[in-house]
Amino acid sequence: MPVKIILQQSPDAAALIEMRRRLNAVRAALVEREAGLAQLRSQLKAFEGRYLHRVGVLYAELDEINARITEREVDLYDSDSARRRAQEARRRAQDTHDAAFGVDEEPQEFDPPPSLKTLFRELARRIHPDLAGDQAEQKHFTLLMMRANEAYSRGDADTLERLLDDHREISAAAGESDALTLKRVTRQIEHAERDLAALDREQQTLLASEIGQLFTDAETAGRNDRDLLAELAATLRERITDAQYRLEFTERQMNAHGK
Amino acid sequence: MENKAQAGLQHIPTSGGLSLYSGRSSIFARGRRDASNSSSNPDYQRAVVDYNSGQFAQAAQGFRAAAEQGHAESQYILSTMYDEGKGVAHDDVHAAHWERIAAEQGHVYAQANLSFRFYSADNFAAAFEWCQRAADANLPWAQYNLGLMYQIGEGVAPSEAEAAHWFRLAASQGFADAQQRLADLYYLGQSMPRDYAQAALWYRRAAEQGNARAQFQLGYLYDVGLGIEQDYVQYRYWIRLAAEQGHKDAIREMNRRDYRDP
Repeated sequence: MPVKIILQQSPDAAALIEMRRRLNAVRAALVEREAGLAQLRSQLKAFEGRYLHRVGVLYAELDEINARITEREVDLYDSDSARRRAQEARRRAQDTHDAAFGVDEEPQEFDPPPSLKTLFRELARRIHPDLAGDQAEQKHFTLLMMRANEAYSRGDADTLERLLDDHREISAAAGESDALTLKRVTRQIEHAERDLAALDREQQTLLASEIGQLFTDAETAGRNDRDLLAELAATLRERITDAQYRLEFTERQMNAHGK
Repeated sequence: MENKAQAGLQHIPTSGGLSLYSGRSSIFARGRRDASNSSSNPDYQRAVVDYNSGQFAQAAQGFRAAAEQGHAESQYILSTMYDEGKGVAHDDVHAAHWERIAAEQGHVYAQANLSFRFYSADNFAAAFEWCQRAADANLPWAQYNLGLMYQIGEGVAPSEAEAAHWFRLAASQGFADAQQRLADLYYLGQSMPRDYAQAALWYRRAAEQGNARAQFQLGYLYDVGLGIEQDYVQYRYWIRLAAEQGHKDAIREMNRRDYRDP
């Protein structure tokens, strides 16, 4: 019968196994959370598009008519307050129009400064998935690369630096002792937990935002067979009809006064 | 290290173009407010049916349920029910509470009522502020009251020009008292150029809606031919209508006329 030689594990080595298990678990959770958040983000994005398309444009129409009414009122009876009112209404109409028709910040051309390029290369060299030691690490590196790409494409040097710092802090030296590795893995767990918390915060921020809450309301209504956006649009169309009538009334008045 | 750990990764989703932090958020806020006030709120709908069939206590319960969900119209109706003691015991505190919440959500009638509540309590500054919000939202009654507050200088520095502006907005929506006040301003010609034709025009609109002072003034303008062609029949017609409503000057005029041409 062959004798199996079982080496007595050092306390560090035993702890290391446990820590690695924890690291893999928390990193797996991170991937899940990241995917969930990406889904929420794209759901919100799609909802935003639907909302602007079905409701936002109606707000723009309503505000435009209201602005015209106040402007006709200035034509009818000029006064400081009438003019101030017309200016405010016009500004509001412009804002709503911009919001509804997506006249956003100029889509800036992507031309990263050389320093950002250097930083990105420096980071990519270290976290490229091909460099991963095992499968778990490869998965993690893929995630990091994705983040780095995102940060790079929006010119976010801070995030790139943070990723690089994280990596420097934990990068393994060849032939390090178990104690050192243990320290390193502990740091890695801390980083992952910190990132998880950041994702939680982002999810809360997303859901607490106006669009997030409107999305939640619409989902709740949908479960009760209600179409919140359709209801909103119907109410708005009524208000537009009212405003249209008021505009025509003001214009009739102008004609009656012969101005 | 502590700081960094707190900062963590920043996932600012600008790449996806989600306009969470942009100027767009107000258009979403508006939709949310309007949606929560939609007339399809089931509690509100049920309460309206109860109210219309005279089941006020039940209606009050329904309105309260919807009000607690943030339904502004229900909050407003509930406040008026507390005011009138309809379906619930009369309760000023509750009435003021729901009125204020609805007003803060932009419910125009609630704003006007809240303004009146402050006015009755001699808090003119707050009364003015809420009246202005309702007036800005085009409520004729509030525009008229705001004009009055400008005229007298309650809660605001007096300004006849501002008063004229607000009277005009209310008047062009057909609010008779505002039409009469605007006509007065044209007739007196203190804060704006005197214009008897405009005065006659607005007096006529108010007079046709039964405003006694406007009827008397219009009659007078017909009598002397100011802003309109002199017309004795019209003069008699409008003065009589005003007198029938108990307008003192009109009654005196009638008596004088009876003496003059029986």
